[in-house]
Amino acid sequence: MAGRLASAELTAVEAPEMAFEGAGFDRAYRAYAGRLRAVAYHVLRDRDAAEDAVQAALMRVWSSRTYTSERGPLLPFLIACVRREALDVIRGSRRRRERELRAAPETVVPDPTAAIDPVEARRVRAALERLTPAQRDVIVRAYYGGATLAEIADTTDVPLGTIKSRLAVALRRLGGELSGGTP
Amino acid sequence: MNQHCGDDAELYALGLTDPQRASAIEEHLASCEECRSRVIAAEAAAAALASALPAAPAARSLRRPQWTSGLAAAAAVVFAVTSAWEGTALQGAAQHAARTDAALSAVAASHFSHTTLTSQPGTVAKALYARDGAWMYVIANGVGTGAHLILRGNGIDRDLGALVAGAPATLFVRGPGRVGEVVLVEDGRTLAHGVPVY
Repeated sequence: MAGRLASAELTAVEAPEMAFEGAGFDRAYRAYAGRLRAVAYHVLRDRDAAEDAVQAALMRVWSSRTYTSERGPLLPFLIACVRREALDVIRGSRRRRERELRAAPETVVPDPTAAIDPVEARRVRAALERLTPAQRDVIVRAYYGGATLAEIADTTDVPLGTIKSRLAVALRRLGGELSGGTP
Repeated sequence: MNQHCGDDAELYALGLTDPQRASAIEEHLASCEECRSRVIAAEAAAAALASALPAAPAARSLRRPQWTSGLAAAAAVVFAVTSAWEGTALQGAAQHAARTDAALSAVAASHFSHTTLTSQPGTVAKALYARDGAWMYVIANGVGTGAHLILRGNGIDRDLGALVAGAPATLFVRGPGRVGEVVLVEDGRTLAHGVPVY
């Protein structure tokens, strides 16, 4: 692909501008840091570790020079990158976390009034309510509860393969509800 | 890597694929529009879920993670400074923002390097600088309001003025040229010094 060849010739420092195609790396960080930190913090429960995860994820994106506009809107892409980074960090301390998860009360959808984006949070909550109870449950456990697929399979006594496909279907349906559905 | 992502597209967007699988998916996405669309849709739904999360508290301190490369280091410093500023009082916020803008624009637009200054106990300082001498950005924690930036070269000391107070204190200088040594001085005492490598 021509785009990739061209960017490979750039130096690391020139790359970010190319990578973000005028969106501007600085503006992206300044606009999104709050949301990205919330995503990392929800997983890591430590404000410094969360900041580190955000920085590490952005550094990776910035220096890998792989992001272009055809990869989709920047914010959802960065949110996914940060969450992967945060989850990678806790994989190392999984044993400790398992104990915390077991001690944690039932996972629930966060309170929209306390959300970073209350309007969007209410929309998400309404969309979640239109899913089947099993679909909603698997999304809430995986996203808000921070459980791994194996943990969900374990606690719900459902085969891992079923959990995987159920979660995939649930997220697709949630996307459909959010983009096309009227409330 | 020609295999389509299948349900892993959604699991990837949620961060639930292991790192090896995630890398394979990323490689595949570069050449497969179908899977890319699926991942983009899944990431949009996952981002919507994220909007219901509560805000995170700001980091406690200026963080200095892995200084793996000049680029990463500079990026990390700028991130850390920006986020530290977000936590500062409203007073001076606009000024901070203006300084961040100037510094980030310069960093993004040119080849630069960085050096950690040798500091007195209690002081942490770094200098980021353009390799062509077009700008220098000094960041320091643990300095008082009277800390000045001195640029030494060709036997001459140039006083560039006081660092702008804050946590961290910073000073952005345009057009210093290539300097021999960077020194932070307060009340005649050297707080930190270092030698840029151009």
